[in-house]
Amino acid sequence: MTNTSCIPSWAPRWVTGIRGSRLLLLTSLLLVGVACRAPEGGGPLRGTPLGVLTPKPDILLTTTDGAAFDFPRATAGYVTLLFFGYTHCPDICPVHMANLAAVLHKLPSTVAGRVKVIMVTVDPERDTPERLRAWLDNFDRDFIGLTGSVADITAMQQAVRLPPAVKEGEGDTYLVGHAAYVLAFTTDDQPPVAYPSGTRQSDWAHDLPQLARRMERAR
Amino acid sequence: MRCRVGFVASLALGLIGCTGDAPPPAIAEHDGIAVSDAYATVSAAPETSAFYCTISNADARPDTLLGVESSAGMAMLHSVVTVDGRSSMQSVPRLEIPSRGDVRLRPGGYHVMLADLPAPLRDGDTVEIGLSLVRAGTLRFRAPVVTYTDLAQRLEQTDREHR
Repeated sequence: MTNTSCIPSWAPRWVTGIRGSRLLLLTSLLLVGVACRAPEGGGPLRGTPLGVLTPKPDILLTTTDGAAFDFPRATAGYVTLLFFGYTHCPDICPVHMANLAAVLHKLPSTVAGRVKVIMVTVDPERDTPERLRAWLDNFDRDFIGLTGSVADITAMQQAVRLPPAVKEGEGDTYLVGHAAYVLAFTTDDQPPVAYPSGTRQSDWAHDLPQLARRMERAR
Repeated sequence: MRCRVGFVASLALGLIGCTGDAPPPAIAEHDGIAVSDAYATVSAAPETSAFYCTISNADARPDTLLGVESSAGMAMLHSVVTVDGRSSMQSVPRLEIPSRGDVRLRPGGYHVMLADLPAPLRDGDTVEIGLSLVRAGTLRFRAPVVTYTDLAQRLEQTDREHR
């Protein structure tokens, strides 16, 4: 990804704010501008900061072990990578997870140990906790899988400013349209950073140490 | 449904055609059309995988990909379409391969979804793929099954080579 303008061509319209209010557009440009001018070493982030501060979602979902997951509390102090996907997805979801797993296994534990990866299923009907766990275990046994009611999963997507997933097609072989971004939450004073489908392992290897350093400084 | 019937019919024909024959080659080239960087992925979910490749056209005339067959599962050519931040897979009935150009199937873009696999694909397996084109006919070849991690690294490598 070359990033000359700081707002890459793949940035969705809600990131660039074209569809939002002018105020949101100005805020986005201001925040992105700050991020571009003040690189934390190794150049600006390759992900795109959302235009607005967005807290971690405070909606109670369930882990693949059946335990209630208090999202803000369970992820406090960690770079938290949040993705909404489903296990019948052949392309975007497994590629994101595989890239993250590969990079986290290569990064030093001082960085990798400060990162939590969370995938929320957008297909709770077919993704049983067991199926979601087995799917995530292909990539990393430490990746956290969450499920819940359709209403709660929709509310969580809306809370982090993603369009809610929609079921497409009928019968057992339906697909799900969903946001293809991994959102990286760091400290409360920084907007989450969006990573689209197409983010490379080299992009993650570049950005994750910078995001982890934010957590160090906040301690 | 038409897709599924067509697939079953073509698979049956393919099996009959293959009886006693040598397996198809690992690379395919015919009438100016060449297939390279062909990989299927391991099944993260038991019944689902994906297939990717680059289709190059050295001819002065364009060609059109009309269908994909696989020895494993039901093969469907998809594109990823993103509207208002939401990405969906959509069926692609025809895909033009431009003259003296190429089309790369890759994650997040055009790809072949392999669904309803009878058994999960594992690292090191091979699948037989058939690409049906209007002008070049059907190209049959074998594609190795690789992990999603390996796939991503190979694509990163080909990106550098194409730059």
